[in-house]
Amino acid sequence: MKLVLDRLGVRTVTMKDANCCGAQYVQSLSHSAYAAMSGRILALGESMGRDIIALCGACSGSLKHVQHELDHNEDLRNEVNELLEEEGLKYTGTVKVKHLLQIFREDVGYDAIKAAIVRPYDGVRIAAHYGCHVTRPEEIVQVDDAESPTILDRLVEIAGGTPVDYRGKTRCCGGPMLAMDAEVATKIGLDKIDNIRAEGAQGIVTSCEFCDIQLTQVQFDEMAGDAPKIPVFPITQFLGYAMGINFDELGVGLNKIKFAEVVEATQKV
Amino acid sequence: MSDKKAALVIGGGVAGMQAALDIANQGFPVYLVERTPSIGGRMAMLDKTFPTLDCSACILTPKLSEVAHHQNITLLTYSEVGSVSGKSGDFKVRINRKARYVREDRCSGCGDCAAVCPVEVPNEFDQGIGFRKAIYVGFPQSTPNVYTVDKESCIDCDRCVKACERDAIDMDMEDEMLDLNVGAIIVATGFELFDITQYPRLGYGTYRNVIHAMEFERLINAAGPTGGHLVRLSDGKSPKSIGFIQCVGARDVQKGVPYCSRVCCMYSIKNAVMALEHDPEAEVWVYYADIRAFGKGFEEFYEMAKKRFGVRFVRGRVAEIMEGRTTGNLVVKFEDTESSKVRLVEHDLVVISPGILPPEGMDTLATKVGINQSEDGYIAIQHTFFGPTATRTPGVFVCGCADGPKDIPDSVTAGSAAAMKATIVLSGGST
Repeated sequence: MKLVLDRLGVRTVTMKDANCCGAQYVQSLSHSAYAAMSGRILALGESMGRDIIALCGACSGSLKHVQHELDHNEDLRNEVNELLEEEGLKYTGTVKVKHLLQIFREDVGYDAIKAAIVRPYDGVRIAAHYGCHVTRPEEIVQVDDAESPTILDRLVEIAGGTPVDYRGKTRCCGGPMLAMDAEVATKIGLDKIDNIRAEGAQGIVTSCEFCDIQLTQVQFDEMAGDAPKIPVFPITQFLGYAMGINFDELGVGLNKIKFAEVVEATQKV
Repeated sequence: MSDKKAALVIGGGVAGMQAALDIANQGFPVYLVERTPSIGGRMAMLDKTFPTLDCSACILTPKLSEVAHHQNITLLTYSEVGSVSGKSGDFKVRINRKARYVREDRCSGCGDCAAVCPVEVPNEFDQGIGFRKAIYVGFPQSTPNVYTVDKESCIDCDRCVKACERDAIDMDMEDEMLDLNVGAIIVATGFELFDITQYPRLGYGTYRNVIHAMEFERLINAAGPTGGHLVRLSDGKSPKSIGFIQCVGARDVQKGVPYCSRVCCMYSIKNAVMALEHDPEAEVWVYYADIRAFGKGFEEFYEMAKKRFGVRFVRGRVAEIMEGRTTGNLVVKFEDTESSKVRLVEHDLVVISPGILPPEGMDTLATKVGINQSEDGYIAIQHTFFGPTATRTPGVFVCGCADGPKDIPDSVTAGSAAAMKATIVLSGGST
């Protein structure tokens, strides 16, 4: 992400000593603890005097949600700030949280991204998976139309790919169910993979790390059988390669399903 | 026309027509302003009415003629309210008469012009499913029976001008202003359908075989674009399995429409019954949240739909519609809340029942006339119990769906009630 954003003129600084946002797992146990965890990240951002970018749906969703709550619920804000006081941190409401897709669309703009593409794909068929918490609830996160999102598809197109629509595009990846019922979670994820496969997509691009992991790992489950695996990769890898960044720098070697061959096969010679 | 004070009725649907007739029949002059080329409103577009299954056109057409021929009613179609000033008993109203390029005093509605017109465009009256010419009447009973030139589509070929034996077509016609002095005003501007593309998960606009109820009305109507043959828009096949989906754009806080639209349950039950009248072998499902059959004869009608016609009613809001890639069939995913099971049901046609909204331009009109709107955009009434047809501005009254969703009987009742309030003002009494 850093490399891609660098090329687009967005400078990112890694947050030191950041913690987990608390999404889902802590959230379901203690709302105050969850608010304090995300609240701490918000306060850290403020102490650094910078806005926060999040590329995981769960993280961006939590940070935005908690920010919304802290801005509208004074009691909760006081409670969180009391906890943060120990570290000399305080949430005041000046920080902005943005998901990566917002940066692409609002701050960088499609034209600038297009200009940065030096190695366009040759129509590779890509299905986009946005991630529920990236776009929902629409009023709070304000990223894209939750029911028919377009940013990822637009980016795929800009990079020379063919965006592929599929059944249940805005459905859940199943990830959040893992802790409760792994079988159901896997079924939901595989259902999605089947729908994508039905459209003949060669790859799945994601804008949420959590979804990315889930959609990858379900394909290794017993339930998936011998079906050929569809590579899953974050939008930054997909864009990064088209921008001329090499595989090593993009960390493609860490992907569990290799997408290199698929992508290279479609390159214009 | 008499020398008594006149009334202005804005909107020529069934409520406005009733109000105009009731005022005119008491001897007062009435100006009835309608923004489309014909009066009749939404009711003219409907195939059948509930709960009696009367043919809508059959019961409306005599009313259209009555209004058109009433000596005390001046019909101003294809016209809009420009400005309003003054006060109760003495309003000055400016009407903008849009140029229809056909002289109303000469046109006999023979249709020779349309026969030679080479331009075909989707007909608004048929919800864009059928076609009309660039010189047109929207439907056969159009009132006044006068053609209108749609200048945006017209190619100025002059064929119609040459074909017209009565020299009724005047391509140099310009918009005209008309100043009126009226004692009372009735707002009867009706409604529009909720834009169901706001629910992308239901596929309207993407899947050809997902249509909305008003399109269904035109498809089953003998005077409609298919001559009354109920077919799928994708391939012209007769649907064997139809699903009706309720509460779309109604009772949905998320979409800013918390209220019930009051008519969707009944018009869908009626449409479900009509689908079976067209093809008794078909399977018809209605997906509902609650069935609100509150009016006279409504519950009996609902029972009849279930028992005599075999319409299947399932309780559950539809989550998503998926389209089969090769068949164009639709799979409806919903939770059957009576059995708490998520179910998938395949249909070959899905009809969405949109809720209703205040019509486009309501805000502008309300500002011009100087009346308040309630939070939902409808005209605010003076008192829930004792002033249901009075606005908060003296001398201005409201009826039909302009102040909230209503069915036909209630719209007509309100039309009569508003007329009475208006004539009290016209007679110099106090309301």
